[in-house]
This record gives sequence, C-alpha cells and structure tokens, in this order.
Amino acid sequence: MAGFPLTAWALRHPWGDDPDVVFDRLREPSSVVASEPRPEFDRLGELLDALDSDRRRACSRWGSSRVAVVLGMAQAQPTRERLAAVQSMTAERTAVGGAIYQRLGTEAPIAAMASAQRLLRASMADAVLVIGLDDERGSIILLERHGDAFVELCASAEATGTTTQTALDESAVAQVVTSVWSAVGRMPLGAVHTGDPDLDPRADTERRALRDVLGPVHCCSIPGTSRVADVVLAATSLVRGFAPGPDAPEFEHERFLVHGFSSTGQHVALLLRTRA
Amino acid sequence: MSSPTRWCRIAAAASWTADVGPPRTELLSRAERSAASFSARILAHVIGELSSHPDITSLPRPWVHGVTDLADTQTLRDPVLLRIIDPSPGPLRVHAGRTVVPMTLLEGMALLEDHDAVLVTFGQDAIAPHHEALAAALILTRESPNPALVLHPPVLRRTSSHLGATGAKEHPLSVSLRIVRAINVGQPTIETVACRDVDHQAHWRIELGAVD
Repeated sequence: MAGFPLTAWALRHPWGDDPDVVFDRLREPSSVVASEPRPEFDRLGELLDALDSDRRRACSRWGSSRVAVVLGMAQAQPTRERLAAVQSMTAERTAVGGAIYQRLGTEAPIAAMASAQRLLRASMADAVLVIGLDDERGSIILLERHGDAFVELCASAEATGTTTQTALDESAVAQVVTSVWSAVGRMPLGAVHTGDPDLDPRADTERRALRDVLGPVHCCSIPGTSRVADVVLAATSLVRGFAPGPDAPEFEHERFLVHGFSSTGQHVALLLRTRA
Repeated sequence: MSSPTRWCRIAAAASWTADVGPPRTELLSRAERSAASFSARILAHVIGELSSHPDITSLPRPWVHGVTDLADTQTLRDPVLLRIIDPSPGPLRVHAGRTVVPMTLLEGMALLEDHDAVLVTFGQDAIAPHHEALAAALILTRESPNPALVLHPPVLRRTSSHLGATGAKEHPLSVSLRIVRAINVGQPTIETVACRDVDHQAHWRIELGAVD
C-alpha cells in the first residue's frame, strides 16, 4: 500500500511548542515544568499560522478544492458553540475549497489521521490538514498525496469494540493492529505507541493485547491521557531515530505503530514509517 | 492531478418525521420503550426500517453518525440503540455545523475504501432553533442488488446561482430527508447545502444520479 507523506507538522504543548523540545523532555518528564495552557482559539490560530505557507503551497499545487481539513476534537466537555466556532475559524483561516469536518471523541486526534488517509485513498482530496485539539494541547499535520518528506503514513484502521472506561476490548485492539500491520506485509516494527500506564488502568491490558499480536515489540507512551500530541511525536521520533520516553531506545526498524482508543469503544491504529 | 471521482450505491434508506406518526417500537421490549429517549426512538425507527428491508440481511459496520446536537451523543450510547445495532457498539461521530450531511456522507463514502458497506445516520430531537424532530439512515455500499441510483461524493461549488441551496434557517438535516425520499422513489436529484462559513457564494452539491 502506497504511503502518504507527512509534509509538515507543528505542535502546541504545555512543555513547549517545538516537537523536538517536547521529545527531549520526554526523557526526563519529572523535571518538566509545564506552562499554563493557552486558550483554545489562540492555540488553533498559532497552529494554522505555523503551517500557513505549507497550506498555501498545497493549495497552489493541488488546487484549493482538493485540499480538505479534518479536525480531531478531544475536549473533555465540548459544546456546540465551541465546535461551531472552531469550524468557522478554521474555514475562514484556511480558505480551502474541500471538505472541513470534525471527528469527536478521545481518540479523535488519531482517528482524524485515519479519516484523512481514507479521503486520499478514495481520491476525495489530494492534501489534508489534520488538526488535533484538546483542553491543553494542539497539533497540525499536512498529509499529501505526493511530496518530499521523511515520514509517511502507510496504513490506518478503525474499529468499534466494547471498550469502556474500565475495560479494554482486546479483540478490537487485535483487529486494528492486525489490519495496519498486514497492510505492509507484517514488517518488523521499531516501536508501538500506547496509552500511559500511570494514568490509564487499561494501558497494561492494551500492551498485553498488542504484544499478543506483534510479539515482544518495544512499547512506549507519552504522558497525558490526550492523544493530541501522539502522531506528531511519533513522526518526530522516526526523524530522530529513537523511541519517545525516558528509556529512549534507538530504533532497529524505522516503523512506528500508534494505537488509540476511547471509552466509547472506538479503536484506531496508524502505521508510520520513514520513506525509502 | 486529480483522480476520477468515485461514487457509491445505496442499499437501503429510511427516514422519520412527525408526519409518519409515532416512531415504531416493535423492535423494542416494553422496558426498552419506556427507557429510551425520543432521539433514540426515532433513530431506532429508521434503523429498524433498514433492518426489515428485503435486501438487508444484517446492518453493516462501521456506523457513522452526523452530530448536530451534542446532547445526542449521549443518545448514541443508549443501550436500546446499541442492542439494535449490535455488534457495533458505537458510531464514528462527525460534526460539521450546517454542512453535517455532506460531510458525514463524505466520511461514510471514504470508509468504503475499507468496508463493503457503511451505515450512515442522522437524527435529532426537536430543540431550538429547529423545532422539528427528524431522523434518516442510509446504507452505502460498493455494490447493491438494486443499483438504480448512485451517490456521488459531495463537492463544494462556488457560484452565485445556487437556487434551492439549503438556507441558514433550514434544519441542517432536512437535506438528508430529501435524499432518502429521492432514493425511495428512484428519482435522481441534486441537493445543495449553503456553506456560508467559507463563502456566501459557495454550496455543497450532493448528486444522486441514475446509473448510466
């Protein structure tokens, strides 16, 4: 399966706005002093500014009508007014002529990447801006049909299961992970991104379910329950050649699987890899 | 640069408005009838209509729901609905304001890249500013035994002459009712949804066309 390059990305995080800085601080998270989260619309505006030139280039290259925006909204308590304001601000600032819509839920920032990949595969867009937002963090990624980039998204899968706030549906984990892993021929993985075991009691079950499918692969997590920063930091780790986290082992294989889930039963998996 | 646009078929479609009468509850037990919210009952009605369609042996996964009111997201966890939809325990939720219908259809059609069929639903109880309860459901497929009509991916058109475009005051789900009615009478149609967030001259165009 052909991959789609991640041609640009940016992050807004209480630990810093540079993905490399946040990545480095993951090695010693206990020493990090987090800044006060900025208002949601400030973060959204900064993210759109950060990729403004890339968006303009994509619109020029593909045509505005072939550029879409998918937002993954993971706020704890979204309101209709907030979602409408985010939608309106994004539409005005990006001025793309393609689809603009929001995926909702804890897993939405990762699921939005899966939606974007499907839009590209179905030829409904040639470039997609994927924006993730929660109450503290924000991320933006430009995914294109072709382009110069070191990292590409080569597979995605979503499934619904019986996962709740207290229990994880291991069969749903196996379903999405097997799907993305098989899409590229079950190649060895450098690492798998999971939930934070310090914050989520389901994370241990998640790791066990992943290793049941994948074998003894290195599992890592990023502190915090939100999935907003996961994809950007996974891409950063492929560029850097190390898994994120305090132990930070060097990659033996340059492929990174990201798994996310929500208490409403949604599971999503992405497979990122460095381009040959 | 662009690849040819794809289209999909519709295996079945159903809708509910107050004109239909009380939502049918044959699928529900007495206890479920008394416990279900009205939003859940009207969604159960349209999903039940699809289930009883002669060409439908089982409801497909995944399930995509166009969200207009966040209170309805709780409805989507209603055990009554989950039992009817079983084994799919919850939908992918798409929110897009007044363009929720074309955007949800787009997400559903893109999901056909990975699945043979997708359930797409819309539904909302009567709440301000739209004092009209309604629900609609469609099963999108790659193939269908009754391929009279095909649904083209919604596209944004910039033109000043979009007569008939859904106005800002119209219920954002009304266009889904018109599409379902056209499907069920086998009549091609082109529906439009104004997109004033981007441009006062733009609208989303949803084409239900005849098979060549």
